[in-house]
Amino acid sequence: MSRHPGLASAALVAVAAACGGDMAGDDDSPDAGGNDGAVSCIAVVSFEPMTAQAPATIVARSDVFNASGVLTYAWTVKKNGADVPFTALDADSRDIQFDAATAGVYQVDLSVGLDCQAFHGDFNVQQPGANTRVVRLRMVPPTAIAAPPQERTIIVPGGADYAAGILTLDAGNPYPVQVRDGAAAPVAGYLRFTSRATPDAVVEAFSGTSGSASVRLVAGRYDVLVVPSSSALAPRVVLDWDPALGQLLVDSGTALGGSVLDAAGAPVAGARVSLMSGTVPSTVATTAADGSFSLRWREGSAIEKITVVPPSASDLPRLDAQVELGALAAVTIRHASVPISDVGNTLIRVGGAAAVSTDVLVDLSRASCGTVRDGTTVLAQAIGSHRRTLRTDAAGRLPASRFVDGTGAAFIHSTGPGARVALALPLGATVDAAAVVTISGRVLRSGGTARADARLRATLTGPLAHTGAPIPTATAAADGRFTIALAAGADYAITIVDPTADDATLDIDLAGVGTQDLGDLGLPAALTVSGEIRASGQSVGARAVGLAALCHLACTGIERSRPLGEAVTDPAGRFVVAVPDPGVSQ
Amino acid sequence: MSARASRLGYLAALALGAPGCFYGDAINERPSAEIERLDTGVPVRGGSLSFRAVVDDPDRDPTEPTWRFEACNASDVCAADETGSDPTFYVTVPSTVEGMPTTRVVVNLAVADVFGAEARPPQRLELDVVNNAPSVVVQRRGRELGGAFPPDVPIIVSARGDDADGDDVALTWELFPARDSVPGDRRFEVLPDPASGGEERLLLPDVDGEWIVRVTVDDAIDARMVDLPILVVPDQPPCLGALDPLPPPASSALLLDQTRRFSVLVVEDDLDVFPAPPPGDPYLGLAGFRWSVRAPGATSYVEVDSDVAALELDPAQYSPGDRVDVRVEIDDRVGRTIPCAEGTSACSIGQDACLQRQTWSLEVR
Repeated sequence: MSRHPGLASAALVAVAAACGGDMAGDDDSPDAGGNDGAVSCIAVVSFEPMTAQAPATIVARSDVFNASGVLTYAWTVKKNGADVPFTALDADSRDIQFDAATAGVYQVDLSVGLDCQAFHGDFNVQQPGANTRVVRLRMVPPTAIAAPPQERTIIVPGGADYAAGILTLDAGNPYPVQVRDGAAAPVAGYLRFTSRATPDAVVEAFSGTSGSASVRLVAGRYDVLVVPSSSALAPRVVLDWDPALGQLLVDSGTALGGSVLDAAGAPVAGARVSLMSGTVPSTVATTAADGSFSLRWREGSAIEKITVVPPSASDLPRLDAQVELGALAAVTIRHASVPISDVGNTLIRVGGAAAVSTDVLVDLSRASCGTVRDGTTVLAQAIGSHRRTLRTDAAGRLPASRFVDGTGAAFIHSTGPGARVALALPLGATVDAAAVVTISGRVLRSGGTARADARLRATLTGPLAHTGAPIPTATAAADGRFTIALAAGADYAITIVDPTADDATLDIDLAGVGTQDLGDLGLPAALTVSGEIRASGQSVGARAVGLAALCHLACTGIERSRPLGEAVTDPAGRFVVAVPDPGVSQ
Repeated sequence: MSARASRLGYLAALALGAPGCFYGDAINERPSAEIERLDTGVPVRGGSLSFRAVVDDPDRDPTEPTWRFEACNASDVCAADETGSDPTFYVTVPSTVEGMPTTRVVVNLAVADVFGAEARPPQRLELDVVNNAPSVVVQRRGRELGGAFPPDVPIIVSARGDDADGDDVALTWELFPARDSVPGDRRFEVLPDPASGGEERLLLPDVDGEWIVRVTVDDAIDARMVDLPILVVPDQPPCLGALDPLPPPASSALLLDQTRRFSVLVVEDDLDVFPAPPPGDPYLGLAGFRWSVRAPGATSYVEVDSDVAALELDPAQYSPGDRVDVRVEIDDRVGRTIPCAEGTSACSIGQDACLQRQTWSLEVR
């Protein structure tokens, strides 16, 4: 029995979209409410005001569509699981009002009997002066759901938990893609589809030898990086590509030839030469016996980064140069005559003790180790570097290995956190690395009290960062205090995680660490974002969808992939993820 | 010819043979009555009964039935509960008589016509009353997946008895453990009174197999038992769920042209999951991770990290053209050996869709 019988079933769909979420928090998908178009009895609720700040009196008005008979209005209003008192505004309780004394999510349920679909909704009441934070929610479905990874951006107000409503996991469409070269021949290769709307949610695919690929994409336009398997074709980015076009064309691009020579002008065979123009890589060429190479590339920016990696058996350093190639068809890359030293037989000690049978990562570089030339014209100077892992013998001495006489550092995989030592070649007979240092501090909750059991994890950063480096960890004691042993002088990123997720993760960068007390480290306050994920076309939630809350503004590079919080949808498709609280302005 | 007709004939003959008039009062005859039961089935405590008086009055005089209903207990103590005077008589069998269960009911019917003639003999119907058997609801809760539970994880069994007659009920618990269970290794303990009433037990099964919790409810007259089967299966291996990015197909490689993060977003398991369960979850723990890297040119993997759900890889560590493989393996508290060969990129202990290993092959640019 509708109080607004003139509303058509189309309006019903729109109103139903609000079920399960606040008036502002639902997805923009037209089928977010999950109504399949069948005309059935359904209860819906609207709120006044539509957006509220605490304290506020909220009026919830109900409408019931396609019902017949006498309805019984049974309401519940809860916040954080506790009942919130309400008063009926009519004799039959069609409408109610309740006091939202504090900010947060108010769960409102209405059942009207008669087998009508009940209303379940979350209504956000904001904190006055709430700051906001833009958060990306990346949804990655399980293999059982045919949908590409995708992202939604939400604005989270600070000071209180927030209900994001229903998020629709767009199934997208499987698009047949044909990759062809200029002669319409099929091209096998790697494809990266970057959505223009949500550029962080990339989809990767591969075309086979037939040049065809099937890729599931959400409707929209994409920038597509195509990296052909063939070294005769240049990788390229196809901008603003419409999946409906179905075809991606590549060609041989621009040829860059030349040769790689050593300091004496002798050809260097077996060196890998590649360049990166903006974000577009070239093919990777390997020099022939005469030092010649030929690669294919496509201009993506004004300055290219060219890299030459000599064969591992060579003493020659790797060369990296920034160069403006323009229309050049050939360059000569020549190593400079720089001193090379053998580090063999150097004794490695940590804290005065020989580091026996220990891996040592040596990373050294030196400016002007080579040139990139156009004929006799020097286009750019190249930085030379050597980065190798050596293993000390039973006496703690390095094996024979030749490095460019540069500066840098070594990381010694000794017991515990390892050790770091600055190096400048040639080395003396002994390299002494300091023993471990101890970092201490106290972890506090956002409220100021000690946070027991907080987990700390220290990851190497800077030039010595490498996969496989020791990752010291520690757990805060009952009083929040911790100590963690680190490699002296190394750079670290320390992550402090609240195991209860009551507070947000704290990241600290430490450069050249020495023994120190970091003092009180307050975890940032967190709030929860809750919601429900539904596959498009479904009126029920999607389970086992991985969800990562990610920063949107003021973060670049890998930071954009590091989650602020993670969650998985439950069997009903619901999720709760903790994110840093943007707070409230005074 | 009936006796009544012969008597009338005799009087008629006498009248014909005698001068003058003969006067005589009409003789009222007694009605006859029977009790007809309208409902069917065995009378039960608390149940309804209905009866009808089947009356025949030779004189066609109006009659009035008088009903009387008594309920009796096992000690033959009876109490009159209902009376009535309608042709149809409805009664409810009381559950108790003098505090004892009703075992028998007696329905008495007396019928008299308007002249006071009563049906003889009075009608009496005795019916045995049966007890409503008590009922019991038995439920289980715990880390139940697909109808089965892992061993060594608490299972809460709740039971609540009910009796339609209002009798007090008592619950008796019996545990039939799986065959290989060791008494000292399993637990079956009483929990404090649950808020919902009834009783609760905590079962901590020590081995897999079929366990049965038998709950018998008794109202002192009847007893009913319910067997609650609990299937305990060996711990299942965890399954990799959503991964970001998706691993490439065999013989293909993703591009490592910038620092990339390889993440496990979801691990599904009967015990240890990811993301972490809520603090204080009585059943669930956090899945374990092992991250390994096969460096360019290497034949074997080297473990580089554990206990985190993601690994970041910077192409600056490598050279353009290098091929690197990043592998993740997951485990739960049980600890298992992944049976696949070192070079197998994806692996399932159960040789099904539940994977414990996945590999991202990468080409550095």
